[in-house]
Amino acid sequence: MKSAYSIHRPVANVYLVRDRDRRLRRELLSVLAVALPLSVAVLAYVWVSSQVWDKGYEVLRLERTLERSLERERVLRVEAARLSRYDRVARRGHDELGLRPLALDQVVFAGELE
Amino acid sequence: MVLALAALWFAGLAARLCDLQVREHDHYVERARNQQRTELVLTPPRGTIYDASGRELAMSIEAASAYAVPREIADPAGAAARIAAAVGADRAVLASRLGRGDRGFVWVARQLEPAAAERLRALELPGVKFTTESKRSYPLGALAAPVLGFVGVDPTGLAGIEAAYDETIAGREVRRPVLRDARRGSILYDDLAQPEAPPGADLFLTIDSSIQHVAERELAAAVARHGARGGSVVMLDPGTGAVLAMASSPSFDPNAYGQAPPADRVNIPVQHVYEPGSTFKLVTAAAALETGAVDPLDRFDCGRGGIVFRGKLIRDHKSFDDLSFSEIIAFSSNVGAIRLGARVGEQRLYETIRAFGFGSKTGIDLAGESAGRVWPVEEWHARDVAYLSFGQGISVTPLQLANAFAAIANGGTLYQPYVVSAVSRDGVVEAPADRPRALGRPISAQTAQTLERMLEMVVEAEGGTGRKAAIPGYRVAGKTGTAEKPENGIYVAGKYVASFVGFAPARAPAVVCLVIIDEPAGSRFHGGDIAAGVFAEIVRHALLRLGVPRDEPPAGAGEKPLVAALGGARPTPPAPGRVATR
Repeated sequence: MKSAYSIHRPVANVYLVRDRDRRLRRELLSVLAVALPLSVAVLAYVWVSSQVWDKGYEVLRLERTLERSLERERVLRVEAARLSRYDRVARRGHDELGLRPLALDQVVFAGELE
Repeated sequence: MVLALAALWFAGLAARLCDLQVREHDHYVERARNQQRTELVLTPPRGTIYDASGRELAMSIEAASAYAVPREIADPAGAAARIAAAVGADRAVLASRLGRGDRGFVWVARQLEPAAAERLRALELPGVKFTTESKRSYPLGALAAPVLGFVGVDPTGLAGIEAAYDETIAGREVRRPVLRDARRGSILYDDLAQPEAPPGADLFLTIDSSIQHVAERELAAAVARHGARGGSVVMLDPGTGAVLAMASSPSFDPNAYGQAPPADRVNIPVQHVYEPGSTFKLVTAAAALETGAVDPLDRFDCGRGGIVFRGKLIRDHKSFDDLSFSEIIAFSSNVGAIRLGARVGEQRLYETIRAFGFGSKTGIDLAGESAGRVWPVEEWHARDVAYLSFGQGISVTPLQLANAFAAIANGGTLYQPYVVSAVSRDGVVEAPADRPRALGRPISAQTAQTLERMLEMVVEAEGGTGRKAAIPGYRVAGKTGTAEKPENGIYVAGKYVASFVGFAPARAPAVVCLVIIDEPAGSRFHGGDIAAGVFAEIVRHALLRLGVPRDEPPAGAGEKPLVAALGGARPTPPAPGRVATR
């Protein structure tokens, strides 16, 4: 289908050049001058906000991990202390290893060596 | 027409916008804030309580607690049966709670053991949910339980150190502003610069858990062996007043304090009073020496077992003719003590009693201390000076008596006893400023030395009442006591308090120890028979633990040591300053 734009015609005036529309360009630049900073500002705000929320969640997650670790440590310390109860250690030392309470004459104190 | 309608529509829209943005601005800002912001209550865990060598005695851990929403439970009875089987709770009580369909929240079980919580979770019961609460755990069980006290579900300290230092170890609750997201569940801090919830301070005690364990073990064995009603032990460092051990029998497990009767939860050395009997003769002797009423070389007619004092015959436990001052103490003659007291006089005896701290609280940092009972001298009856001379007609706490002997042991200075040696907050350890604190000087160093020699005779002299308190290699000084127990104003036959109080090594005391056996059954009820041996066993271990060299090392010492020397092993609290604490 032919149209006015598809018809190939030789250029009659070889000196004809494309002339730029300076007014249109100025208007475009004006719009960009207003819109671009606004867009950057909006994008920056959104980015900062999302970072704050992301970091907030990250801090929360790390704090919970820390709390769980500290709690786990506390539980293990309680368990370790419970396992080292004197009566339990004494009973196992006696029953399983045949140990007996220390007698005074089995000990020499540093002050007695001089 | 269309233009007019459009203008009207825009005008309405603008008006509404103005209404929302201007007139109701504050209202909607407030609503938004309420939706987005809330407060998170941070409850820091209570501080840890350590013994003198850094062993954990009390710690806080998180425990699961189960609650229910009754209106979400279709079969309360069935659910109650399954929960009861899982956690060991009362089925009827649970069924009653779960059956209250009008309630939105009821507790099912609080502060569960991990295994019980796991069993309950595995049931996956609808309407039963879980939360976490801070729970106090005492990993060494009943060790030093009356001293430590216990914590309620709140958690607030209800007895012992937990109550006395509640504000210090509880930490401060902090409310932090937080933002809520769209799911209203996730939160993040609104202001990261907010301070953290300060945890409770850690406490370091003067009590050595090893010595404490032996004291409790030996006390419990003696109480069982003699069918006694109970007993107590106090051990002090005479040079500072620091409590090294404090035991009560009966006792309880603070992990399940609710299951113990209130009488078993009493810290006997601090809260109970008793008539000290013959152990109190040292106060009479101190008054006699300090006032110059008696010369150490004086001899006394002990009346062959009795004395008529102001119209009443007072009998001795044994017949004595003529005794020296030292022998009165060594053989524990009541008549001799009465003679001493009579020479001292009422006023000077009363002043000495008060100077040793009897009738006043020692000020120890424990809750519920008793002051004992010392009647003002103006209210004394005619024969009170006689009874007081051998320890009747006066009520003292075991701690007061041990502290008085500590004053004799250290050369005459009465210190305020204490159990907390240091407080650690955020890794910074601080020793309380006023420790050790001298309360006074009831006797001179000369008097203290004379009394110490007399007390050595109680243990070492042939016929001394405290010979069972002897510890091989060490000089031991001490005094036996066998007091009749008063009930409703009269002394009851067959009910006695047997005791022994002393210190070792006698010439350079490292420990003072008092052992009391309350109402021993059977024919053996004298302090020298049943309390002195317990004293020897406990003090022997303490001297070993503290690395105190013997007065008389065994022959060949050092040639073949079977165990590495322990000198300098004495447990000490962390030095003040910044240290890493757990």
